[in-house]
Amino acid sequence: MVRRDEVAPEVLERARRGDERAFTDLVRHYDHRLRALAFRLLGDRAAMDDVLQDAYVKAFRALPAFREEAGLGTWLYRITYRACVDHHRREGRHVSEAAAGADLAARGAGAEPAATAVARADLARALAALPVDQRAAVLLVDAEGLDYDTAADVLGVAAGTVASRLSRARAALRVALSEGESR
Amino acid sequence: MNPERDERLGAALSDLAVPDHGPDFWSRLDERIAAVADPATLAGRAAAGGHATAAGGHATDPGAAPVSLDERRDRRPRRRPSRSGRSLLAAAAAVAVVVGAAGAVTVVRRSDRGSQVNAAGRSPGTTAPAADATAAAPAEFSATYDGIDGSAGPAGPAGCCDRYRLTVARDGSYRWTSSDGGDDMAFDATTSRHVEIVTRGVGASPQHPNAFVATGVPVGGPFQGVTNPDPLSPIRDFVMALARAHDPRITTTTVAGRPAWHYDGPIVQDRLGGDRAPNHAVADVDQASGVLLQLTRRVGDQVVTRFTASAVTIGDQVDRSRYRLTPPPGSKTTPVPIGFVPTTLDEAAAHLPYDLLVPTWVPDGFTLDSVNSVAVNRDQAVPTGPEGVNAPTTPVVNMTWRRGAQTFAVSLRPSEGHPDWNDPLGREGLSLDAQTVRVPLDGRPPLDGQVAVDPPVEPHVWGVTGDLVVTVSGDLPRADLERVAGSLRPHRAG
Repeated sequence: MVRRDEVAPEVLERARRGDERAFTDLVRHYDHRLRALAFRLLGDRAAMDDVLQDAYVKAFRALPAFREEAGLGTWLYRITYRACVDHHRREGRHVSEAAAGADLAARGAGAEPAATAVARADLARALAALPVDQRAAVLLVDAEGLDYDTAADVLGVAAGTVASRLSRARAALRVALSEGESR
Repeated sequence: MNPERDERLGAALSDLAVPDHGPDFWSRLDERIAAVADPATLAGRAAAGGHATAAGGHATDPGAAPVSLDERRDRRPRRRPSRSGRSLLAAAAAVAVVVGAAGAVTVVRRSDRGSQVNAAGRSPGTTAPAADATAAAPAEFSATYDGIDGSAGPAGPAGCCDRYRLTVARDGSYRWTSSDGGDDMAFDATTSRHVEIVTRGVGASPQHPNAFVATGVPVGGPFQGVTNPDPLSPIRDFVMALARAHDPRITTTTVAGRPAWHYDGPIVQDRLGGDRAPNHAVADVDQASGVLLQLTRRVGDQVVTRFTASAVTIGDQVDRSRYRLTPPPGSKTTPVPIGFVPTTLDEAAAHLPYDLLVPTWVPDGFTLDSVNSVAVNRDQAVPTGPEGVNAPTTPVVNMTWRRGAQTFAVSLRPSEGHPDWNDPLGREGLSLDAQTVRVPLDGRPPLDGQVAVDPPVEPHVWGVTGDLVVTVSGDLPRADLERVAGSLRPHRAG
């Protein structure tokens, strides 16, 4: 992870030793970011919860094997991303189905100008229409602020592949963003 | 600020709503975590990561004090401190995780070996002439290795840094000793015991070295939690497999006076090593012994690691004492219980809670070398796969076939209904070029999984068939890997 705070080392060590409470503290620390990635990749709250349950259990099992060659956050992103991809593969989901979650994602936190809501909806739909690999690249780099190398670690591809996926994703999203804002 | 980020787009994306979890998400998670957090399981999980723990282990040294995970990690020095260097070692460890687990019993019956030979004889495989040279592996192979590690700086390595002597016996036993006395490592295949003694690292000194005594290490390897000498790293399996298939990427050469298979080409870059991790290798494998005689790993023009053999000697007798290493007085000994115990096909078939699937076809000349079965013992189950994300399940069976210097292994473990198995031989940081396969099996659901013949990991096919997760790995071409997998049938005792 290239930014944001990491969990305290003693929490990580306790979690590594099997302390369930410490592990829960650890994943709660990263949960919002992982939830955002999973939801935006899956477009469905129930699927998000199911996938994150599996991802967190896998992380708990695997934590003693965590070699700390990547940041803990990066490692958790990787497990979550892999779980999302597995879910897509298992469910045979299509882009159009993922788009169903776009409306939920487009909701703002509260009262806001109608134009803002429309722009957000356009962006959410454009995001949902992207292939999963492009969606993941733009979410990790632009939304989460990971650098190319770290995103490449998460996605299991070369940094150059991240850049090319990002280029295509940005092109599509910038159009949606500009159109939404111009209304 | 990340200069690679589109701030405007990123802000807009971050502004999209993210729903909360359902009301029972955390309570469900707590229940699931509690279900896998029993102390017995934890012991196995710890061992899986190469961070062995004495908890639940079987100390081989009565005087050995239990050590914490931290202590174990700190005590083991990094022979190669770079990410790139670690990847070689990690390759062995990752592969080993596949077969890792704990166990109970042992003895190899000659009848098993014979029956397997007969089975193979009924349906002989086609053997590439390229591989014939490996059939007559020497009883003992010894060589001196001069190695360099370019991780010290961007200018690359300068001069020779390390000198080691390696001796390998035909049965997979080996000894790896540094010329300065800093490292000494031995694996005795006849006792499944691996000992590593180091005088460097936290708390270690020549007077009080750290010693790691691994027991129950599966014969023929690979094995988790145990360091492997670099000349035995899995890229040699890739080279041998391609040579066997007459792949045009493999040519011949001579190194230290020895006929060798030569590979000069790309390898999968370890993403955890960043852009400076090696993405190209030049590997020369001794045709008779299967040992790497030379390996250069580089990124672009920069050499990251290189070692080259010299002073090669071949023996027709095996000096078994060479492979028995005892920690000297004053050592701080860490027991590493791997837990495999040799058994027989009949015994394993009689006691396993699932069908013992055994190949009914093996490439010509291969014979069953050993069966390392694990008793039903959940205490030391280990996870597998990238990031260890696969559930730890037991019992695990590992079977090894050997022909001269060539080996391949079949491992079995229960799937326990987990829906999302990842490649058990997958490695953190490596994105292998794997192809989806469906291998039909007689009387069973097809084996659905992947095949990967992509350096630097050893070629393998893996998949799930009903209640079992299967791996077939070793220095076999893809066609042979799949044919072996497709010939799996339940072994019937007697």
